[in-house]
Amino acid sequence: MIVDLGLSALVIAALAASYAFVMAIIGGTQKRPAYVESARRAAIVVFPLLSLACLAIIASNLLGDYSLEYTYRVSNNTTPTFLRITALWGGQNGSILFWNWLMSIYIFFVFLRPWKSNRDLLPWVIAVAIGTQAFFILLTIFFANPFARLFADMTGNVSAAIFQPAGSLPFTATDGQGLNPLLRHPGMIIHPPMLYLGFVGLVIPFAYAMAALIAKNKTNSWIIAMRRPTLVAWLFLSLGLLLGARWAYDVLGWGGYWGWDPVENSALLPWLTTTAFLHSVIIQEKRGMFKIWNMILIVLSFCLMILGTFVTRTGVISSVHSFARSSLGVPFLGFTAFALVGSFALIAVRSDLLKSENKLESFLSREAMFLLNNFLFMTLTFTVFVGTYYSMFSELIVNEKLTVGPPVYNQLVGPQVAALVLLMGIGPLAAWHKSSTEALGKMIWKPAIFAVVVMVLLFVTGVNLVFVLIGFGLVAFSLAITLTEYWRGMRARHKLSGENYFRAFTHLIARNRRRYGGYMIHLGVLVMGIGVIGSLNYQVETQRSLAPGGQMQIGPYTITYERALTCDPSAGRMSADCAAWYTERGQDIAIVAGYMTIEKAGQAPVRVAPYREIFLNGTGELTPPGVVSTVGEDLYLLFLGEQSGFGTIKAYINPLIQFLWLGGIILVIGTLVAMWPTATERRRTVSVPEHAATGAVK
Amino acid sequence: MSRTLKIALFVFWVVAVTLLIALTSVALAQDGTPPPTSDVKKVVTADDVNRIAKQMYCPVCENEPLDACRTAACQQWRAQIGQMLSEGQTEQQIKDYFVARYGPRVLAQPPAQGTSLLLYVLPIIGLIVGVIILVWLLRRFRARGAAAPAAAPAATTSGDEYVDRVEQDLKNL
Repeated sequence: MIVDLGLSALVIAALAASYAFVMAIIGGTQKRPAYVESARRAAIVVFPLLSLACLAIIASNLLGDYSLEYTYRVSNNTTPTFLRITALWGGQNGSILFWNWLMSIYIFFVFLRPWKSNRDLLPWVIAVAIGTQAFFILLTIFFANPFARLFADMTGNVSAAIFQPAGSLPFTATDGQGLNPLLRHPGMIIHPPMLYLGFVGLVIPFAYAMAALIAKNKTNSWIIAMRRPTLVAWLFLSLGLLLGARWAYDVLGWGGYWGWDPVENSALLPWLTTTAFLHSVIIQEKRGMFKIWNMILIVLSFCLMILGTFVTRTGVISSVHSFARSSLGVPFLGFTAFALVGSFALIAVRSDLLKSENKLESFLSREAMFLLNNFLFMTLTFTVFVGTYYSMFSELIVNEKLTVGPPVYNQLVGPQVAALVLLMGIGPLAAWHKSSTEALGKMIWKPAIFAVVVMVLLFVTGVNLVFVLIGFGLVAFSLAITLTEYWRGMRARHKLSGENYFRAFTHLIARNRRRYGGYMIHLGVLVMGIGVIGSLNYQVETQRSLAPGGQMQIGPYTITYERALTCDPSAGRMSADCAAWYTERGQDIAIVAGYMTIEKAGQAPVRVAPYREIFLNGTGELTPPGVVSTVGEDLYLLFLGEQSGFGTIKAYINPLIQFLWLGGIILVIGTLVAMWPTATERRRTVSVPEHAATGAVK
Repeated sequence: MSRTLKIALFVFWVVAVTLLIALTSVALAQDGTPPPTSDVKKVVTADDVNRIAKQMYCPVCENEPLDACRTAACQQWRAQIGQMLSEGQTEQQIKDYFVARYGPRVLAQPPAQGTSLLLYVLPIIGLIVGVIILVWLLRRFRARGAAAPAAAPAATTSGDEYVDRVEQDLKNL
């Protein structure tokens, strides 16, 4: 009953989206506002309908309705309530429905606005956005339907189908398979939704850009209208990446947070192109330049996003052969190819609209700096893209699988990121039109000296790796410039308006959210940089097998191994201590925990118990560490198991890693500052500042 | 004053660029020098094994280096590395052994030869193509800029150029 309701809602959503798509196109080509209005309303309706479909899946999980294949796969009788809800995106079919639902949220909010301005764009924004949505809803219905039910045929074979196959009877399992244990950790529950929110949000800038081309809109009003949705998508992409890194650090147990694996990379790629776009779009707004380039960046971001979804949802990267097994492969790739070819053709046809309104006056200008920034982001994207997909192509073409591991990326990506950090410092100092060498030099020499001092100090204190010194030097340089930017702005306000420094600071940010929010994002990235350089180059690790009472040493820490605890419900090994490990986890995992005490001179001993969580269905395991955090470093302990009375402990020291998480938080706050609407923006609907459209800057 | 500044700025750029190039070459040179291996080892520690395992991937453990992967197959590989080390084999010999048996995919860093050569060449080609496009774009922008000079050059000649710029930018925002 509930399942029927959900399925109906999904089908109606597909119909509504298809209707909106067709009406928007007719309304747009024949200039019939009533049709467009009807399309807009139909587009809005998709969100509640998909919500209903998602709720039906959740309800089915909560009720334990094992006649539904999806519930059977992701839930079982011992699954706690919370996990039954999050199981909505715990399996492939459900996660694609969820992905669709998130996209409908963006579409809902974008079209809920009255659209007093940009009316010429409306039909095409609807057509592109809802067309994408319709495609993926149809894909869900036909290739990954979470509403398939179980049926048993005469011979007792159970299969899943939407409609009852001839000669079979409905089948209800007594218990389900349960959620993949990997997906029960809070980090894994929260980070896919964030990433998806970032992914699907990219449909909005894409829709606006294509609409501007189709409607031959020469103004910049669409750029201004889509800025906030794009930032929202970027924020969620960043959050997804950060939380994913944190999750890897917290449960995967390899001492790191970023392994350059294809799934991570495929989420990083659209982030890189979107970041490039958020920079270069400023030039289009202010100077009317780089228009074709911005279009290309939007299209690339959108296509990389679809490709990323495809890669993460089908597992095609780990083996090309899984492509054949997944029915999603062909439609996904087909859609990507269509979007890519179609939008590039459109850009080519409309290239006269995209003529630059201004010239580059100097190589030493803000414009040139942005160009350089985009260049570096593009080479980075290309590098990561090649690294990610190389193995796939080599397997496909010469049937030889390769592993492109972190050392390759570190070598290729490191120098490019270093150059970007340098640019992050100098770029914002360059004036529009042109800067004089003199003016730039005046602003640069102090931070440069500061950077040199930092490098000398580090060298004196024993940092002798050349690229680490360069890395820290560059970070110090850009950090000094960025902080000076705040200080100068503050002082300027203080001088001009007589405000005290604190008020000057808050007003400075409040009045120029975009700029100072952007600088805050830069600060966040730089602080993260400190963490990355430190943990990448100065990680120490050691592994020992100890008898109870045995000790090992790493850095300033002494680790004393106490005992191991093994809990295995399937083998009946459940001592009294085990109860504490099975609160919200479900009964289908075994726990092997190692208790140990950490001592450091001058500090109270700390007790930790890292453990292995082994999934009894044989799908793998997690290795959550025991971590002792200080400002300067993390002591990261893993318990690898017990054999004939000896416990194996692996210990890492991750220096400066706190800066990575701190920088991430600063980045998120900066993004919020940059996208928070000002009071005036909230009051009026989007209007076009004249100078932005003509490109004339007073 | 301005002359000194110009020279200072020039020196700064030269130093920055040199350092960047040094960084690249140092980073690239790093992998060429294998960590020192002593002669015949009697006692092989887990750390010795991990040092090599870190640079390898076993086929059952996608995307997780051999030193971190906990599957039985990977454990066996690590045991074998320990065995080979205790027999006095070098890191290179051990890697070669696994590559001969299981193909180049066992290495975290494919050797820059054969099919994997392209992996290293492509980003460099990308970089060169990028630079060419960049230069072409800049020249084109410049050429047109020269043909139609900018209407109003930024008038920033007052004492504190920065304050002017802040104010100007604030107006534009």
